[in-house]
Amino acid sequence: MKKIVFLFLIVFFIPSVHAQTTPADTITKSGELKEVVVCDKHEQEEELFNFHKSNKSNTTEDILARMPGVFLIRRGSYGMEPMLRGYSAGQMNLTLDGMKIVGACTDKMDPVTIYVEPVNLQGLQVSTGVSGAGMGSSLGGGMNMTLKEAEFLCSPRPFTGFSSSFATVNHGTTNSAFFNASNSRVAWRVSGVYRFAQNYRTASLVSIPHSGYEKANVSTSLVYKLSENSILKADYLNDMGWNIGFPALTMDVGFARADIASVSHRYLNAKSKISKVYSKLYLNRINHRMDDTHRQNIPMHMDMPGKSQTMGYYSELGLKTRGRHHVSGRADFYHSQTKADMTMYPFNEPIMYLQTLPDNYRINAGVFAKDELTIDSTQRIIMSVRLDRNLSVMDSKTGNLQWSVFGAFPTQRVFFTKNIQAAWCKAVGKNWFTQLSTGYAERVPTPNELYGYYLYNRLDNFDYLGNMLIKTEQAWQGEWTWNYTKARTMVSLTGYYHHINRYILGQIDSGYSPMTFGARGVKAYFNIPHATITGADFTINNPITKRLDHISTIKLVIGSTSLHTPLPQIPPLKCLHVLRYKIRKWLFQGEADWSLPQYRNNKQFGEPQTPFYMVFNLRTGYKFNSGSHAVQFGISVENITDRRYREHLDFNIIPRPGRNVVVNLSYAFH
Amino acid sequence: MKFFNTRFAYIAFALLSFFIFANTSCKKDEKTINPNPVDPYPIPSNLKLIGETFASGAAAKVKVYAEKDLFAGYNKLYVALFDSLTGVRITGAHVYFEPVMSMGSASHGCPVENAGPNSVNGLFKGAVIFTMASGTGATWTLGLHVHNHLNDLDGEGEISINVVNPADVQVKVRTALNDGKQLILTIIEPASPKVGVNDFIMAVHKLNTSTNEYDTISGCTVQIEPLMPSMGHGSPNNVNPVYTGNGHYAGKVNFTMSGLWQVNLKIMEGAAAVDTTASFNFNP
Repeated sequence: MKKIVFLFLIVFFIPSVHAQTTPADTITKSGELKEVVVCDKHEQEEELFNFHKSNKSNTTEDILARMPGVFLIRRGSYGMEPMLRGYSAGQMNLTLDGMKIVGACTDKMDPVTIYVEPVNLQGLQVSTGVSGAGMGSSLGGGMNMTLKEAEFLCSPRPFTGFSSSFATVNHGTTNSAFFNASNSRVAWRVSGVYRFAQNYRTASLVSIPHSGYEKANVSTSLVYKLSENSILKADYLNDMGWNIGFPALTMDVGFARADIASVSHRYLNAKSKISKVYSKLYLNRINHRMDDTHRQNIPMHMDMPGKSQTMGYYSELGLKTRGRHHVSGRADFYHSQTKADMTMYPFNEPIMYLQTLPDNYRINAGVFAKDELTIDSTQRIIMSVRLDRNLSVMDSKTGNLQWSVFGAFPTQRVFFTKNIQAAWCKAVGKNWFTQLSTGYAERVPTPNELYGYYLYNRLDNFDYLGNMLIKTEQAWQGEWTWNYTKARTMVSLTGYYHHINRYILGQIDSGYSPMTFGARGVKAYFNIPHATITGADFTINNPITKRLDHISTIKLVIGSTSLHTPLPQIPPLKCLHVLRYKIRKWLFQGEADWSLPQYRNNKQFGEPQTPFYMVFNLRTGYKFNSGSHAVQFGISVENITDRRYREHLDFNIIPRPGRNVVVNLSYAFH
Repeated sequence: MKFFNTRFAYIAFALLSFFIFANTSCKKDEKTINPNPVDPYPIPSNLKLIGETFASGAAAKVKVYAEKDLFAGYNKLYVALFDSLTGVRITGAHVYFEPVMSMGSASHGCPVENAGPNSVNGLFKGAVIFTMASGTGATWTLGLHVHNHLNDLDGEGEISINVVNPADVQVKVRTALNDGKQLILTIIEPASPKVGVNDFIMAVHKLNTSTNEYDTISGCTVQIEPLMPSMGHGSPNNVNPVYTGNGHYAGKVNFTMSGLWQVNLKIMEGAAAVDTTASFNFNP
C-alpha cells in the first residue's frame, strides 16, 4: 500500500513541485512514471523534448522540428505539417491525447499540431514505423501530443504564470497565461495563448507578403479524484485563427476554429492485476475557411470552406507484469466526417460551386495488443498486433453527380488493415543496448486520396483527383538501433529500411484537363508498385563539463519510387548542434542548424533542388526564484548571419525569416 | 377545442355532401343525355393549354398543350382532338404544324416535327422549334392542319400564340458555311442541366428555299466541347452526338461543377464545315 501511495505521489506531486520551482521547465517528467526498462530509446527523446521545450518563445512546431526523425512541411509561417521519416499526412498518425482529429483543410493547412501550444503541451511521444500502431494503423508511425492536465498541487494556493514574448522579424507578440488550482479532490487548470504577427522579413529586411497571422488558444482541464487510484477528467480546448497567411499558397486561412472536448477516466494501480485503465470519450469539430480577399491579381474571388467532425472513444489497458509477460492493449473507435467545397464568384456571371472533397464519413474500429516478454535480465522481446476495420463512404448527392462524369465507382469501401511488429532488444555490457525491430504495416487511403475532386496542389501545379478504387499501402519495415548510455551521456543511432508496396502517389492523367487557372494538368492517385524509404537518425547528448552540455541530432532520409526516381518531399540530411552553458541563474546556448543540399528532387512533383544552408542561433536566459515567485527572462538571436535560406520541404521557394531577435519574459507564482 | 372544431367540420362536410348528392341525383332523373361523357384520356396535369380552335373541314376541335409557356427553342406540343359534334376523342389523325412569324410585310416559318398518325393516351405528340420570341410587330400564329382519320377529312385551324425568350438561348439561326443555306441549330437536351452526366440532344435543320420548308439534316458529324468561360477549363469524358433520326443528334455532356458552361459545337458534313463557331450556354 505504501508503494502505491509513493507512486501516486510521484505521479501527481513531483511534476508540480518541479513546475513551481522552475517555471522554465513546466513539464512533467513523465519519465518518473516509467518502470525501469532494459531498453528504451524514448527516454532520450523525452530528454530532448524537455531540453527544447525550455525555450519559452518556441512554438510546438519549433520543438517538433528538433526531434529525431521529425521534419516539417512549411507552407506558411504557421501551421506547418509534421513529417516523420518521409511519411506525412495519412501515412502517419497525429493524435492529441490519443484522440483522432481529422484536418478540415484539403490543402493540409491545419495539422493537429497547430492546436497545441507549449503552454498546454505536456509531452510528445514520437513512435516511428509500425511501433506507432498503438494509436491507429499507420506506416510512418505516430506522434501523440498530450495535453497538460490540471495538477494536484501540494499547497492550497493556486499556481499562476504569465509569459510574453516579442520577435523583431515579424513584430510578433505572444502572450500566454496559465492558472492551476486544486483542493484534495478537484484540480482545475486553464491556460490561454494569444499570438499576433505581421508579415515576416527574410534576409536583408525583405518582407514576405501574406505571412502574418493571428491566433488564440484556450484550454481547460478539470480533474476529479474519485479514489486514490482513479480520476475523472474533462478537457476542452478551443483554438481560433484569423488571417493566417500562407505565402506559398494561392489562398490564406481567413478563419479557423477548432473545438476539442473529451471526458476521461483513468485508473492506475500498480498492485492490481489490471494496473491501468484509461478511457476517453471525445468529440472534436474543425471549421476552416480559406480566403483570397487579401490577395492581389486574382482572376476571381473564391471561398473554400472545409469542415470536419470526429467522435470517438478509446480504452487503454495495462496488465500487471505476470511472470515474463507485460501485456497492454487498446481498443478504439471513431466516426469522422469531412467536407470541403468551393464557391467562385465570377464577374457578371452566375456563382460556380464545386465540392472539392464531397461529404464523406468513415467509421473505424481497431484493437491493439502488445506483449513485452522478458527472456532474461538482458533480453526482451516486444510483440504487437493491431487490427482495424474501416468503412469509408462518400455520402453526397453533389459528389456522386460530380463523380458520375468519370463513370461508376464504389462510393462505399471497407478496409481491413493489419499492423504487426516484433522487436528484440538486448543489453550489451553495462552501457550498450541494441534493438532489432521488424514489422508489417498497412494504412487506409485518406478521404482526399479516395474522393478528392480537382484538389489543387500548389507545389506541382496540378489538380488532383481521388481514386475510389485505390488500395491500402503496405510496408515491410526493418529498424536497428544502437544505444549507449553512461551517466549523463547518451548516444543513439538508428538505421531503418522500409519497403512500401502499393505506394500511393499522384500520377499524371493526360486525358484530362485541369480546372484551376494555369494548372499544368491533372493527376490522379494511384498505387505505384512499390517505394522504398531508407534512413538513419543519430542523437548525441554529451555533457562536456558539469556546466556545458552538447546535443546534436542528425536526420537522414532517402526515398525512391519503384522506377528509381526520388520520392517527392524527402528532406536532405539535416543537423542540429546545440551547446548549452549553465552558470548559476544564467543560461547561454549556441545552435548551428544546417542541411545538406537536396539534389534528389522529384521534378514531376515540381520540386526544385535546394541548396546547402547553415544558420546560427544564440540564446541566453536568466532565471530568478524568490520564495514562491519565479521570473525568467530570455533573449534569442536567430539566424545571426541574416542568411537567406530555405529548407527543402518549404513550399514554393519562399525564404525563411532573416535575423530575428526574440525577447521573452515569464513570471510564475503560487 | 381543436378536436371539437375538427369534428364539427367533418359533420358539416358530411351534411353538405348529402345535400349536394341529393340535388344532383334529382337532376339526373330529368336529363337522360350527358353532354360530357367521361373522357377516357384525361389531360395530364403537367400540361398547359396553349390554345384551342376548330379544324374546320375536319369536324375536329383542336386543343394544343405544352409542358411550359412557349419559348424560342424546341417545344414539345401535345394535341388533343375532339369530334366537334359528339366531343369524343379522336385517336387517329395527322396533325401538321404550320407556325408563321409575321413581321409586317415579311413572314417566315420554323422547323416542325408533325404528329400522328396515332395518339398516345389520346395525345398527338409533335414539336415546334420557334426560332425567335414574339415581340412588338412580330407575332407568331400556329396554323394547324388536321387530317382526321375518323372521317378522312382535312381541316385547318389557327391559334395565336406568344413565344418568350428562355433564360439561355436554345436555338440559333446561322448560315451554313458549306452551302450558304439558313441553318437552324437547336438544343433539345439538357433542358434542365445538372452537375454530372447530361444527355446532349440537338437538332440540325436547313431552310429549303424551293419548298420554303426546313429540312432535317442527317449526315453531319458533330463535336461538342464544354468550357467554363470564366475558368477556362473543360470537362472530361464527353460523348459527341451521333445521328438518331428526325434531325436529332444525341450524345453526352458532362458538367463537373455548377456555374456557367459554354458548349462549343463543330459541325461537319463530310469534309466540309457547316458551322465551327456556334456555342450554347448552360447553367447547371
